[in-house]
Amino acid sequence: MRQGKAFLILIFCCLTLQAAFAMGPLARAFKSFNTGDYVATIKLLKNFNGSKKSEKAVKWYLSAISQARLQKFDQAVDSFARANRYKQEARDFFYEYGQALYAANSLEEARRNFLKSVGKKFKKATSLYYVAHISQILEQHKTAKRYYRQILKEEKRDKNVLQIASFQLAEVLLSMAETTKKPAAKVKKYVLPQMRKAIVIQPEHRLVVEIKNRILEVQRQYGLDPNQMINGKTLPERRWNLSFKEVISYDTNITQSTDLITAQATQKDSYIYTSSLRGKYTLNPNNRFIANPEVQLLHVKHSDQDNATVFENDAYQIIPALNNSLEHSAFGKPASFLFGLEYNYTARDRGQKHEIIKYATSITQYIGEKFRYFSGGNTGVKFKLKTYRAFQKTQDNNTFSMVLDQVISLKSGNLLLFFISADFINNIGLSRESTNSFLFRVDYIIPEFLKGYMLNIAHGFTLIDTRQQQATRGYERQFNPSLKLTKNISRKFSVAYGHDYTRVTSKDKTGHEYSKNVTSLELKYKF
Amino acid sequence: MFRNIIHLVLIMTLTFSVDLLYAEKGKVAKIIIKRGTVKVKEKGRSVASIGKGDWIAEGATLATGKKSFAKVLFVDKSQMNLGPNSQMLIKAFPIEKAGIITLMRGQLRAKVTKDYMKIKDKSKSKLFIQTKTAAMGVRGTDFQVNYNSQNQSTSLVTYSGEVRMAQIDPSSNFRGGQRRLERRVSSSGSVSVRKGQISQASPRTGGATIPVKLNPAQLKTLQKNEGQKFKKSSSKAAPKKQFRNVIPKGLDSKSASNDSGEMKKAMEKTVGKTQIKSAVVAARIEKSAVPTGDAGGKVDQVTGAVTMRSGGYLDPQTAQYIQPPPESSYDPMTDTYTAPPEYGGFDAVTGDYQNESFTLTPEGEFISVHTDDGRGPASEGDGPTAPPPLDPSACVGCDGSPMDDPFDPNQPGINADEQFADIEAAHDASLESIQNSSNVFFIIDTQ
Repeated sequence: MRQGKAFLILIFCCLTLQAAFAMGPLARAFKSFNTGDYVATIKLLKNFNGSKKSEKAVKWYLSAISQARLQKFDQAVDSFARANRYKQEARDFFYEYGQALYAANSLEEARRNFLKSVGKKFKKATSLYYVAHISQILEQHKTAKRYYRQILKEEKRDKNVLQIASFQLAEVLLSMAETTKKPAAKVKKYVLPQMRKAIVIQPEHRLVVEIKNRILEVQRQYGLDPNQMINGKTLPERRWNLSFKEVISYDTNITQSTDLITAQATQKDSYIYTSSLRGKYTLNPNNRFIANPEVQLLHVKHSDQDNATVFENDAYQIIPALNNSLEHSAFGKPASFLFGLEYNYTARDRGQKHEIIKYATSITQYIGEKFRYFSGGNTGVKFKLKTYRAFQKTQDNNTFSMVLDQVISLKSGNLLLFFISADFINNIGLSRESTNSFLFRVDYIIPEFLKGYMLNIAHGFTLIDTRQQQATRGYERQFNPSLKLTKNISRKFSVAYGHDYTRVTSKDKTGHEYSKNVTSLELKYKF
Repeated sequence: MFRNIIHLVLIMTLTFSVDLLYAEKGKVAKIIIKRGTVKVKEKGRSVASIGKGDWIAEGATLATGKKSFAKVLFVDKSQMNLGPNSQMLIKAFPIEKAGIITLMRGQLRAKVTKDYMKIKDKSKSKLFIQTKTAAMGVRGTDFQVNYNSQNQSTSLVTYSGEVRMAQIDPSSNFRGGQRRLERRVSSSGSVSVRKGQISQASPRTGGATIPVKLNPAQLKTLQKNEGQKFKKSSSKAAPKKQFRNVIPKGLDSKSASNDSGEMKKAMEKTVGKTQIKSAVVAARIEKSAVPTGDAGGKVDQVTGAVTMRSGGYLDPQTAQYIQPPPESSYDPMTDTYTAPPEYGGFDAVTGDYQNESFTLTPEGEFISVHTDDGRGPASEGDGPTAPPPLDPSACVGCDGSPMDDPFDPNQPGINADEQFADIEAAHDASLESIQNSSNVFFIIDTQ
């Protein structure tokens, strides 16, 4: 008897366990759904005909979602409709139904379902977003505006939805502004500030780039871009510029001594450490005039502190400047009339006492014009007057210069730069030291020489008319080939390697003929 | 008694029939299914047609024509299916070492048996598959390799087990035996492609891509179709309805996705909690066989390695993985993204990638299929926009990826004005140097 009871209990437990683990067709379909096998889910449900209304509702609901996941939205909409007929009550039902209708382009019906989803408080912010977005597509701007505003008022946590809703509200306001008499005023007062509010919500999100591009686009469309000048030239959004540069170079002939064997002992080499800090600010009180006050601080130090002829070149410079331009058009393209002033204070170790003291000052004034006559690139013309006053009066001079530059952009993406300068140096302290100098230089720049590397190959030729010293020096010639390889480590930081060769030939071989090599490593950081 | 002896002899003959035949020098595989045009070229012989039941020697090249297929059974009971327009070379198939198969073009589906004959080290690769741009070490069982000779792209999908994959530089003319291949697939640049995952190697990817999950529905279809089913060309198929992307532009797809928790509640109410609990547990057990991990779309901040978004499609023709874009809908059930409709889908029978509106070129560009017949397309103005070109190394929209900030003054490119300013400054310094040096002797003289 006892054994019989135990046997019955055992069978009962087995049956219970079996029942527990046995799954009906709906449960099997749900299991497939949970594994993401939507094709199998639909197949299992197709063969199931539930007797109860709730079973039919769930069957069609599960089919609908599976079809939607497979992007078969037309079939999904049918299944959702059937589930709805059987009064499917799941909280997310209208949200899923709304998404399927939205994808199937039944926008009005989709909106009705998302509103029901809002009523059921399922993904309220996202549901409201769909409602507003659909209204926007249907060009019902007031309705869209109302719902976007509701999201911004009620949603506190989901920053993604807040940011996109804020941005889209701006787009709706823009659409509304376009129908008014003075759209530019409305855009300035309502649309652009709303777009900027959207940026602040999540400044690091990828959507911010799109918003910023849209701001620039809208500003330009309505002439509201504070950075756009009258001739179409645009200034950077950020007005200040600060950069630091450290150059470590090795100069084989600092003393510029002749190459003649007899005098080579006078040639001194040294490492030179040049640090420079440059800051600039761009002001444009109106859309015609630009002023760029700037200041540069330079410090030069030589590694050879034993040879006076080397370390006497240790120096620092303070160079404030004011560079201005008047924007206009020439030849149908943006052009600039340039004018400015630069002051240079130079201090050097002129006493050879390891003490840097005032050496010279100079003031340079210039006027010029930059325009685009050739399709290849801009042309620049400049006239400069430099007044140089040194501690040694015999070095005082006035220099009048004419500068011509031309950019040519090649089809390959490379650049050719031409630079011509004629300098008439009038030494007022010692007139026989006056010279005329004519420089012709070409730079060939390959922006993508290798991936991430820019190459600049240049050659300069200078002809120096020694004027009153023609008998002893004749016409001196300076040859200056150079190359520079720059690697942009990031947008702000770059490293460059450069090599400069200089050869000066003169009638006076002992006094003025020399050659030198300068190899340099430059580190530049832009803040 | 005599009858029993004959039966015994017959049984032993049948049992050892493969070995007896294998005793014929160099024969390593047999065609067991053949469809369409299948040709073989063995060493020292000309190209010949091959049929069902024919044996292939080591060193032979097998090629299939259009809408052709060959199923090959190897002496170790591994099976390989060579798809249409494909060519493979049985480079080596020794007894005690891993075999080497070179896929020269097309598709190869392989099911490698676990206890590979007499290989001693079970942790090493059982078989090597090589293309011009990738080396694969098979440590699992079921996988598919596609190679496109035009773009030199290799794609690998694993259906079961694990396959190691490493890129080969096509210009290096890589040649190597088992040891060299094993070193390559075990190197730091190699990846491990597990069940349900895909990886791609091509000159554009710069290395084997980090494996991601393939679209689960396409995966299942491809797995079922071992290369035997072909797409029916329907010249006058009814145009399919254009659907909108279910995620509006700008909305975060994970925020908009639904984890179907409410569905579970509805099921419990109707079917009962016990059954639904069983279903969930069963599903969890099944999912545990598939590698977990995030859905991709990330850039490693330290290494810069890009993990593409998972859930995309494989185009076997061009051997390219079509990554879902940032605005794709996210499916929490499969932890994958589903690309918007304009990115196409796949054939329900063959699993081949298909796109009604655009053709994917081997270079990764989408070109509209609308022809200019003097009439505008029916949905002029409402048609889908072409997806951007594929760039496996790009991760635009991923967390932490750099993007062009239009407000950033440090824009890339050359500033010619800055260049001229530097030239002018250098020239001025040079002039000053000339002036000062010419005064040196005078200064010395006066001191």
